[in-house]
Order: sequence, then C-alpha cells, then structure tokens
Amino acid sequence: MKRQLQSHAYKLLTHLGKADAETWHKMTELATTLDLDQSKVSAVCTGFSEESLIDIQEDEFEELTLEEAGQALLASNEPLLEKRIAKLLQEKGEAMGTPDIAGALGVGPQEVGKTLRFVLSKGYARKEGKALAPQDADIDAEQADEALLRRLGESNGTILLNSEEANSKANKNVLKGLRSRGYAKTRTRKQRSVRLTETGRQLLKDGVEEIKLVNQLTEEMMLSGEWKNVTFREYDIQLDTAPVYAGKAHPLRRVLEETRRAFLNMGFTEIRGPYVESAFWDFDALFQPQDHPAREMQDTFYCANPGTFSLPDKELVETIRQIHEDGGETGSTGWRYDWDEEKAKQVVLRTHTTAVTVEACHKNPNPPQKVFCVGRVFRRETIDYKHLPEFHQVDGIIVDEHASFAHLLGTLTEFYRQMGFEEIKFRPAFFPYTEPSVEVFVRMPGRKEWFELGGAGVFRPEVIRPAGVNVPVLAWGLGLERLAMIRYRVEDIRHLYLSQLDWLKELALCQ
Amino acid sequence: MPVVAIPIEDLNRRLNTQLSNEEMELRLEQLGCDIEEFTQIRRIQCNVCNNLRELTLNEEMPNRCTECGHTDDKADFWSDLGNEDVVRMDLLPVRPDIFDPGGLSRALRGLLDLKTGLPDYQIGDAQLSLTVDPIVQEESSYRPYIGCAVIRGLSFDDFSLRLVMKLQENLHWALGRNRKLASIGVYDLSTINGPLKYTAVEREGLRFTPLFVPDQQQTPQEVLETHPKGVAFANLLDGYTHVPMLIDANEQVLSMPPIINSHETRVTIDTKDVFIDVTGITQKAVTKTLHTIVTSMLELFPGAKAERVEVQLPKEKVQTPSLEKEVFRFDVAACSRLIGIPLDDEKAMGLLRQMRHQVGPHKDGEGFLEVTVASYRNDLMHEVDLMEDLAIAYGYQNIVPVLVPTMTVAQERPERVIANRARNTMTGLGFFEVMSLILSNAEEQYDLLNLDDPDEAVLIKHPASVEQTLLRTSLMPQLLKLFALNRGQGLPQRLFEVDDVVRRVEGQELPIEEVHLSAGIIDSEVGFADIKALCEALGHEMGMHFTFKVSQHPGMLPGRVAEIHWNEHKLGVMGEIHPSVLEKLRLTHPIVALEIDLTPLCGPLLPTH
Repeated sequence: MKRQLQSHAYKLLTHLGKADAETWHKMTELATTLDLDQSKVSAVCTGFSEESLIDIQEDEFEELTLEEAGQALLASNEPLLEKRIAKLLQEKGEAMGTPDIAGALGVGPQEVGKTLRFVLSKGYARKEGKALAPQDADIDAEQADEALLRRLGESNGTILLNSEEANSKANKNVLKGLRSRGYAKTRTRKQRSVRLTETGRQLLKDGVEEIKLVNQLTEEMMLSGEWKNVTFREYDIQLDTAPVYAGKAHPLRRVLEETRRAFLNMGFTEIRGPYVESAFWDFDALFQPQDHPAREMQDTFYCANPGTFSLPDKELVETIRQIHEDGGETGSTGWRYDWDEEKAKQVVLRTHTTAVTVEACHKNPNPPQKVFCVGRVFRRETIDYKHLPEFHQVDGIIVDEHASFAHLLGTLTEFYRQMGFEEIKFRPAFFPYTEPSVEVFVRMPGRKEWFELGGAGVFRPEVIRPAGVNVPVLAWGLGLERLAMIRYRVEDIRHLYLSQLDWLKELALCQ
Repeated sequence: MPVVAIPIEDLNRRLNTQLSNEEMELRLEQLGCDIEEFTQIRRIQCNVCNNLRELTLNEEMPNRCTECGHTDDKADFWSDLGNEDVVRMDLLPVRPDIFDPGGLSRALRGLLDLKTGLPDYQIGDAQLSLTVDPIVQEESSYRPYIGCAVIRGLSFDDFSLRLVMKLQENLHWALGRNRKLASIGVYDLSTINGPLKYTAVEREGLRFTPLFVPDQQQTPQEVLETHPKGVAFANLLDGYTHVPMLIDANEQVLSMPPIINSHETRVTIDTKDVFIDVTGITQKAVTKTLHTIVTSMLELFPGAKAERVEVQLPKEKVQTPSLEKEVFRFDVAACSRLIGIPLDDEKAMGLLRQMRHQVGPHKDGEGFLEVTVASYRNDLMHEVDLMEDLAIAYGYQNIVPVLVPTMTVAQERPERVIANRARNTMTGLGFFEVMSLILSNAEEQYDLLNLDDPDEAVLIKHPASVEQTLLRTSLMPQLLKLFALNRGQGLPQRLFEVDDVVRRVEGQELPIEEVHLSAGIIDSEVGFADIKALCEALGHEMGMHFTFKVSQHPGMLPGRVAEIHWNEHKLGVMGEIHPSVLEKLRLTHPIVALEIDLTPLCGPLLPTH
C-alpha cells in the first residue's frame, strides 16, 4: 500500500525527489517555493528526519538587513557619494578642496570628510596635499558594496550570505563599511537545509499518495458525494476566536426578576401602586407623624403638578387624624399633636413601596393575604457613588390570623436564601409603622462584612386598625440596588444606570 | 447620623464586668445598636476652655475649638490626653436613654441579668423655684414650655464633664431637633440665687457675658451676630422681636435659650450641684428631654441625688421633673402569638424586667401583667411596643424563623408578563437591555428630540438637581443618550429598555402610568427597513398585528417616520433619528429607533378614579 501523506508533506517530499541526491535545499527557500508556512516546513522536516527520510544540515549565515540610511539611499536613486565626488573631479579635471566639493554637490563638508576613505580606497581619486585630484578609474563599474545594496533593494531589504561569502576578506571590509555608514546591519543566523536520504528515495519509488484536506463542507460535496473522498482539515481548537455575546436583560433587571420569582414561588400575589402618591398614603396611613424628619422637603420629593390629591372618604381621614392625635380606639397614646389634613393632601413621589402595600391592606383587609410589589421609590438625595434619587424596593405583606414575627423572619430568610444568601442576621430597629421592627443583614459566602439590605416588622395597630384588619400583618421593604451591587461587585451605584455596553456584554447570566 | 464613641473600659467598670469586644458587640446588637467599629480614639483637650475632643487616630489636631472658638493655625493649643479603646456606634434616635455610658449601662445591666426591674430614682422636694413670665407664651418670643431640675452631689472631672456636654448635644439632635423643639441648659447651682425667672427681653434689652467670652458683656443681638453658637443657631429666633432669657433673683443671666449659657454660671470640674432647665415649643419634647437628661445623669454619677424645682406657671404651680411612670396592661398569650415564641407569665415577667420594667400581676388575672415603664422610655406608645421589648430581651437570634403555613396561589401582574415577553423577544434578537432613571428633565425629554414640551409630565416642586425635575413621559431620549455614552464601544449597538412612564391627563387626578418599550440600533449603515423589520418581529411575537401610517416627527428624518398602530390604538413611532439630534449627541453614525406603548396589551396599570 502506498504511503499516505498530508498535502504539504506530500508536496515537500516529491519536490525533494525531483532534485539530484547531492543538492541541499534551504528550508526557507522550500517554504517560498512550495508556498507553505515556515513553521510547517520545519515541522514536516523534523518528522521526516526522525523517519530517516531526509538529512538535515545546519549552516551559519549572515543575515544582512537594510537600515534607515540605506533605505534612504536606495529611495533617492543617487549613486554613492564617493561616486558623485569621482564624477565631479573627472568633470573638473583638477584637484578640489573638501569645501568646494561639498559646495558643488550640495552636501555638508563633514559628509564629504567621512566619505574620503571610500573615495581613496576605491581608487576614484588621490590626495594632493589637502585637496583631492581626479584619477583615471572606471567609475561606472559596480563595486562590491553597491552590489550588496542592490541585492538588498531587490529582496525586500534582507539577504542571506553564507558564511564563506560573508567571511571572505574582501566582503568582510565591505560589510564593515555598510555597517559603519548605517546602510545595513548584519546578524548571524542559523539556516537549516535538507536533502533526501536513500530511504527517502526508496519511499518515493514505492509511491506516495496525497491526502486531500478540505476546510469546509459544501453543498456541492454533499450533492456529489465528494465528501466521502476527502479528509477535513484539523482545526486548532485552542485558537482564539472573535467574541460574540448573547443579548441579555440588564443585570439589575435580573435581580428584580429573581426577586419577583422568589415571592411568586412562595405563593404571593403581585400588586402595583402609583409612583405619585398623596402624603396620606405614603406617610399618614403609616402612622408617620407629620413633623417626622423623613417628611421634610429635604428628604422627600413633593410635586408641583399635581400639587394636591383629594383624600379618601371622610370616615377614614377622621380615624387617621384621631390615631395620630391620641391613638383613637387602638389603645395607643398617639403622637399627641394636631394632625393637619392639608399636609396629608400634598403629593409626593412615593418614598417607599410600603405606600402600595398599606393601600392594598385597606382595599382588601380580609385574611389570608400575601402580596408583594417590586418598584421604584424616590428620595431627595444628591447623586454620588452611594446614593441615587431613585431606587428599587420590594415590599410585601402577609395578612394572616396565624402570622407571627417568627414567620416574618422565616419569610425573609427564605427570600434571601433564594437570592443566594445563606447567611442572614436580624437586628432590632425602629420604624414608625412596625412593631416589633427588624433590620436585615446578609453576608456573601466567604466574606467578612455584613450588608444591611432592608427593614421589616409587624404593622402597628395604629396602621392596620383603620384598614379594618384585626390580624397580624407582617411587612417588609428591602432595597434591591444594594443587593445587585453586592452580587455583581459594583462599588458605585451609578454604574447600574450607565448601561455601559462592555459591562452588559461581559457580565454572564450565571453571575 | 451622629456617632457616639463609648469607652469600653469605662462601660465595663460601670457594669462591673470584663466583657470582651465580641460579647459586648453581641449585647449591643441585641439592643439594636448600629455598631460601626471597635477602634481607638485619641482624646485632646483645649487649653483655653478645657473642652475635650475625640479624634480618630489619623485625624489632625483641629485649628479651631468648636466650643470657645479659639483659633490658631498651628493648632498647638491642645493637650494630648492619650488613646482609648472605644466602640463607635450610630445613635439610635428613638432610644435617647442609651446615648451615654450611664444610660447604656442601665440597659445592659438588665439584658445581662445583673440588675433588672425599674431603676429606683429617689427625688427630693423642691427647694428652688422658678416663675414663668407669660411673655414667653406670646408671639414675640414663642418658647412657652419649661421644665427644671436640680441634681446634687456630683463630682466632675474633665471626662465626665465632657460626657454631660456630649449627651446634651446628642439630646438636642434627637429630641430637640437641633434645639428647635427643646434645648437644655446646665448650670453650677452655687453661682445662682433663687427664685429664678423665665422671661423674654428685647434683642438689645440687656447685657450678659456669653460662655467663653469672659471679659465681654454683650446684648442678645450681639451674641447672635458674633458668638459661634449664636451664629449657628440664630435662625431659631428669626422673626421674633424678643429673645427668651433665664435670670436669677440678682438679675444674673443664666442663659439665653436655646442659644447660649452665661459664662458666670457655667459648670466646671469644681461644680458639685447643678441646675438644669429644658425649654421648648412642645410640652412633650420638653418633658421627654428633661426626664432623659436627669435620669441619665443620675446613672452617670452614682450617688448623686435629684431634686424637684417648683415652677410657677401663669395659671398653676407644678413641680418638675415629675418622672412620671406609665402603666400598661400586657397580654402574655397575645405576645407569644405575635412574636412566635413559647411564653408563660413567669418567663414574660423575667424578660420584661430585663428591659428594666416593673412587672406585677394584673387585675384581669392570669395571663395578664401590669407593666410599669420608667419615665425615660418615652418611645413606648402601645402594648405592642412592650412586646418588642420582650422580643429584644429574648434575643432576635433565638427566635426560630418559620414559613407561614397558609397556602396561597401566586399571581403576577399582567404588565410584568407583557414586559417580560417583550424583553425575551428583544434579547432573542440580540439586543441588550438598558435601564435609566424615571426622573428626567424637560431638556432631555423634549428638547433633545426637537419636541415642544406638551406640559404633561409630573413636575417636582424643589428638585435636588437640574437633571431631575420631572418624571419621564417617554423612554427614547434616555436610550439615545446611552448610545452617546457608549460611543467607542464598537458597532453595531442594539439597545432597548422596557419600563414605565408617567403622564398627567386632563380631568383625572392621578397621573396615568404606561409600560413602554423603546429600542434602537446604531451602525455604520442602518435605515428605516431595519427598524421596521424589528417592529414586525416584535409585533409577531407579541401577537399584535401592527399597521403603519406615514407620519412626521421633529426628531426624525422626514419621509422616514411611521406611526405604529394596533387595533384602535396609536402605540408609538419609529424612524431614522434626525441628524440634528445625532449632532446634539455628538454621534456620527445613523440611528434608527422605535418607542411602543405596551399598555393596551395588559389594560390600565392603575385604577382610574
């Protein structure tokens, strides 16, 4: 059976077979002749040599490379300066001083000075005192250095000289001259050559066969059945490819959606409420006294248009008034101040989604209820790395005869577990509308610091009685930007709303 | 939030314990304290007024003393008193009774079961009296309420003097709303002679020596204009012709509330007995503040004794402080159900006593308790507040979290389902979702797209920034701005946003909300056909058969704009963005964009009133 060879190995071996047994082939030349990669030629040759199909011989070479001054000279199409000097002297027919030569040729006297030794050594002129006198010489003949420069120009600025050629006495000086004038530089390189061995010749005699490699399966191949006769080129699977990215939901959106999913998983009904609320629902219905600092213009966005909202039915408004003033019938002492209906009519951008859940409580006071709301809330903050004037919260309530504070802690624990936080900590807190109240902290696996993510509690009697609820109402309001920042390791909250495309692309869905 | 640094050694000494930082942290957190860190602070003392200050270790000596106002750029008027281990905590505005090491140790003693039940404060009968001039109730200088007390048998050093000043400052913040609702004055009793008078004088009415300006007699107006404290708090007296003044029998000024004390009556380390006054504009704030400072000082100085002051009001005579206790009925079973912990009467009694309440049987019989609450706990308004107290003593960490057993069925809001369907379509088409703020401004919303302001946005009364003055009525402007922001991130870019917009409508009080989708493509070559293809794809996935009408839009190229219709609804617009808009955004590649209202798919988002 004939030896099967891949296309490039086949090309190389048969090419070597065409030459006589004594000829060495430089690998670099083989690459050019056969139109193959240098690295491929080298790899194939090493393989053949291991099978003793070829001999490899290593020679030293001088690599001559054109430098800037040389490139400039070739580009100018002028002969070497010594030749121009010789021509000038022959035309003048008399001796000239260096300054005169420089003046006549339009070059610096220093340059002429530096060129003197070449004028003399090439026999173009002789010295007469300080001046140069013309000498009979064939100035049109190409000199050794000129020949090298020409070859450099013809072969893209690099030629190889074998060590014999490079080390001959004559060439040594020429090369030195070219180097000193900045026309070219030399570097010693190793050059490998190959030739077939007897075994190699025998293999060719026995016959070799080329394997056809194909890059791409085509419809034609399928239709003709040619695919059966071809071998597909192996792909270098480690090679980098140009990146492509999946279109994705925004990272913060992913957190919001997971939050919704978590509460839906626990059987909650999703609700919605307006961004623009009366202070009545945002504050008063939540037993937040009218002189509470959070209600001040400094912290809350009040609206200019619409400026006021009408209040709900009179009976409810009166109940709320009494509860604020003296606790009404709730058994509370109240805040002991004069409640102002006008303040309750003011319009605010909701400061928390608790405004939504408490209103839901009023609309549907019958237990059992489990509702939640994910939405934006607004605080009058100046924008910096920690603060935005709006952010997302999830608020939820459980209205249930059997509900307790322990159930609240259980619900929060389960929510954060679903969001990927196994470690959770509770600390007493104060909110005007809940009692007992709690602040929730979570910790990322393997990290030291705790992050406060929100508040929760059991709605106070002052909050639920006016709604007609007589069973415990568990409530919470948790910030979601902060959670996203912890998860995605974002240090600056503003980053979440800049939507930088590289971040959106790179951040994986699994993160 | 002000931060207080409590020295750990001092706290342990007061408790007679050797708690480690970890144990201390646990107990403080159980109480609800917001601990910043356990650290060291450096104490320095002003050589001019003996004022103590706390610095963090890498803080430089200040070149000005905030107390006496002494200023020297070399900052060499301080003595370094050395470093101290402290726990730094945010103040809990609702618990001013634990602002200072005295009050804090009172609470911790209970929690640690070292001393439980109601603290017993003996209070002596009044020897000093004060008359309230009716003028303080008038509009010319309205600050009508006052409460007073005397405390005898104190022994100050620089540190404890500093504690009292710091407590005063923190109570001003928490209970006094920066001295507006109530403010405190503390004086060396030996420097004043009763009976005292609480009155008001004209702004140039008299002269006195304000604190730390010993050699200068000033009128109230001069104090307000020149003294550091006067300048800082002058606004509290804006609009009044008269200023409140506390004067003794010899016309010696004690203070000008709520601004400054007189220099002669100031408390020094030699002071043994003090007179305290709290003035203010609500009775509640005045009483709370007085009770808090008096009881905390009794804790700070074990062995000191409080004494009432007789206050002659225009119509009646009272003795303050009342240190009145409040009594609550406590339902043990209700508490057990509310907190979700097993509880019997005895257990409940123990826990409530640990919170320093007095507990006894209630006349309603077994299962009910009578709880007496100290006057300094003015955060308790209802029985549920005591239930929380009990839960705190029990320890939140000891409550077993459980899920609600009641079965309920989940239900999503329709607009979320629709938004997510649109989102899935867009990401499936290779688009990236962006998110921007609902807060926007007219320039962004309208000018950018060459539109006239339709005056339908919800407007903010007092924006914090010119960037955020209204609620957006459309998404496209911010989407276009994000293309500008992402200049240099390569082409093509395909972005979209699905979120809410808000709009006022004629004849309806509540603004309406809509869920919109805006999408856009920027590329070296992109045109109307691209955005129409996108729109069709979206319509297909959303089950909406769109029709298109030739239209015009000042922000889009004429002849390359279409209105998008579905059934009877006009849903939005699409087209090639006008080069003048691209120029404003400093973009040099074409953009096509669309904006569609998805609300008709899910019905109104809010009930229409």
